[in-house]
Amino acid sequence: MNLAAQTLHLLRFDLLRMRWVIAACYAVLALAVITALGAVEVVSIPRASLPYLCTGLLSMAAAFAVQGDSPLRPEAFWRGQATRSSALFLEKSLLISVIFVLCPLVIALMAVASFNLTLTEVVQHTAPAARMLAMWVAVSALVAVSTTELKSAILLFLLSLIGFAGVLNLAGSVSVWLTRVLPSVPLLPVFLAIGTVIAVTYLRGLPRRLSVALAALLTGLGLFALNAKPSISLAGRGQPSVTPATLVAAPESLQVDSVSLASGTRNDGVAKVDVSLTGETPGARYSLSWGLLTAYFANGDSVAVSLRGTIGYAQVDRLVMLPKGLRLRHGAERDVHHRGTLAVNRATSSSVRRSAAEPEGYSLTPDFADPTSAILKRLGTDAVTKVRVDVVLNRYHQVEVASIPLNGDVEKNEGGRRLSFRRRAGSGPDAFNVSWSTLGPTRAPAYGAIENGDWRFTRPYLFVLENASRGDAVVMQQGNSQSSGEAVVLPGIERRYQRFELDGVEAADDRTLDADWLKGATLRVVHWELDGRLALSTKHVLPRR
Amino acid sequence: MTTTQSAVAVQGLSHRYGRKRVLHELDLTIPEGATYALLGANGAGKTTLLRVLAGIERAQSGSVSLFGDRVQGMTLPQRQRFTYVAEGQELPTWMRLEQMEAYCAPLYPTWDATLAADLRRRFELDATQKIGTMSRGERMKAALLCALAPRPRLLLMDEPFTGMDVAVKEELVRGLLETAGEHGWTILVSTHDIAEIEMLVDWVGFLRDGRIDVSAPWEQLRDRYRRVEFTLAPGISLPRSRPASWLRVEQSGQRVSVFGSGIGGAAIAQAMPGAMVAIDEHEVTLRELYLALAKKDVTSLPSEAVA
Repeated sequence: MNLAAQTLHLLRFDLLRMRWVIAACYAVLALAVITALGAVEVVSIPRASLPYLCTGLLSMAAAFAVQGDSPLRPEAFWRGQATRSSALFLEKSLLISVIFVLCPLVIALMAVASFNLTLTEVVQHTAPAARMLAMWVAVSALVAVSTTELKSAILLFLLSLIGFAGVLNLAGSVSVWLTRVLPSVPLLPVFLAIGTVIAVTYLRGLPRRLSVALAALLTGLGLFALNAKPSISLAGRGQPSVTPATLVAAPESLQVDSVSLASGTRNDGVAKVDVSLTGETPGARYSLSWGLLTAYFANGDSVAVSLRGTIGYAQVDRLVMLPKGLRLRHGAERDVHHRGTLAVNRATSSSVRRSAAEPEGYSLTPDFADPTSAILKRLGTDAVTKVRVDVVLNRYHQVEVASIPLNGDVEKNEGGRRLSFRRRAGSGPDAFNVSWSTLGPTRAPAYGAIENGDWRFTRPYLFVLENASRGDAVVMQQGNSQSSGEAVVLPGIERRYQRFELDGVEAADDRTLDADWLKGATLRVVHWELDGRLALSTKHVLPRR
Repeated sequence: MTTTQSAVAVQGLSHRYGRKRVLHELDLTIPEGATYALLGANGAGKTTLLRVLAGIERAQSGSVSLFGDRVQGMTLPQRQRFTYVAEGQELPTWMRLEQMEAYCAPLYPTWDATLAADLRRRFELDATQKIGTMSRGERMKAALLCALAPRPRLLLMDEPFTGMDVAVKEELVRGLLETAGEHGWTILVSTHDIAEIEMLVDWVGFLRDGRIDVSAPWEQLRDRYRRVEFTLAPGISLPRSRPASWLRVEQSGQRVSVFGSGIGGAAIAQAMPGAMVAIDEHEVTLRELYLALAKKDVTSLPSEAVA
């Protein structure tokens, strides 16, 4: 039996041994993909946690695979057999790299690619997940190979995880590492080093002292992190259990002066928008955590941009968990620097759920499979006439660069080409609680979250940006952006535009709405009713009431 | 030393775990075809020696060869000449027995499926039963099956009978005897179940303090050592100074049992004329030899029996 044959022989039995573990991992992966695609709404499991769960499961499965035939445990079954250690090393490498890294990533790639993205875009969306997954799996394999028992491996892995979290400034969100730290880590040398240690352990037997030293190093790292970073939490948001004592005072005000348009200050161009909201004060650094970008024309010859969102706040040298009131979301404390063509109507949420307490609610469910479209029959249209923009920075660091008046009156715009907001509180017969519109870069990390996003209205409305001269229109964003494009394993999996066909106006393919289109467009509130089976909609389904 | 004639040849083997010295300048030679019982107290280094022989532990110093080939740097064909069974060895509990056989079979080109089936029948094992649901004895039988079916030239066994009931031990020993005897394999077994393996072995080695104290054919040892029982005449007591060949003396009232090297009833009667009656001479058992050697200072052993 040559080396290759023995490797495949061992692989066959390892796959047999781990079939249920692998099935569980892939089930979670499938669930993560499906929910990220928006095809299924998972109520019981927070959607954003699925990628983390998936990564954790794959890492633990890798540790389980290594521990099953530990090179350090003399009692391991394979040690008593005529098994080449090189074959075992190759088999484990193959199993881990293919089953626990490559295949999940291929699935992620295919899922992302299903959005008709270019290869570059697909790679761009998937690369961070690949880095993160490969790193965690490699670390767990390293931990497993340097311990003799699975429980020791698990303990050491958790300590290492915390250690990495602390040292690599993983406060608040694992995705911070994904988006900020990990790209700067020289992965190839790291993987080579880890692979060398594992290979030496299999082929030559790791000296006991070195094994102990390695375990002690990882444990020490974890303990150091535990001691040094009491605030570490792996939750994506929320209040930290302990606020770091070293947290510097938050600024009372924040001048958002770096939000700018790269071009488009003239009335004929909103072609590109360049949003960069970062700044530093002594001892602190802040950046846009999430936000809603809105642009509108003022006086017919200029463009104003407003941002509404949350500012991540951190010490300059390392991240810390933020005090209550600053809601960190995915990718918190990261530079948001997007460059792209302005477009509206970027869908960032899979659904708006019906609430039992609010029987008038509507549920939006995507359905990508059916090629037909539903028709929304227009009943009437009101132009939105005014929007007011102001900036508020409260003491809890939550920044609202733009806010909308809460009272029911619609404020009047000063120009004809603009985007508008309308928001009315109360419980009148035509009241709706939250609505929004977005001008934001497409297929980029999500903008567009405002509050909770549950629609509540008694009559069907849609905000439509309509270009009458071209004869088409798009529906403004609905839903919310929570956990939309920031998933760890499957970043960038977002739905395309929500686009509805209005009666008499043909729906076009997905397009980027350029400045010329916007110039001719008007935002309208459309009262509608359903004509046809919305369950067959290609892009979105508005179920029957 | 010629190693090509030996199944096992160890010279100057030393091994330690941290500060604890387990093996010290150990020499051992086992001829091919022998069934060798490696005896010794707990912590004597038996398991370590077997692991070093199996290539599981790396020899820290000294040379270790199997069939003339050094264990370190062993090629796969060389590794396939022997199998290893140990008490604490993990078994793939998730597998059924037939899967375990399917796992092991391709690893050994000499795997004999017919022998495997025969052993399965002889051991009364169910091929479809999961290893994890087997009793301790059944698991060891399964391990032995997988160790015997490759028809190894050398079978290394470390405490293979621990925890088994007497009937199973007898059964296994008989199975081993039949199978190994048929094919002339070399067996090295380390065990505390001395009585059970007595009929199995033809060589005995005694390991103490990391060294082989005694290593000789069992027949030779049995010829050399004797147990003599006699009854002292009334009013007579044993002399304070006893011959060096008396390795172990037990007295119960006037009845005395002497275990020793080269001793005999006639010689004792001659040394103590009129002092004893009812002299009985017995062949020594392996257990008696073990007990005597375990408590005896090595310097008092007959030089020709020392390895």
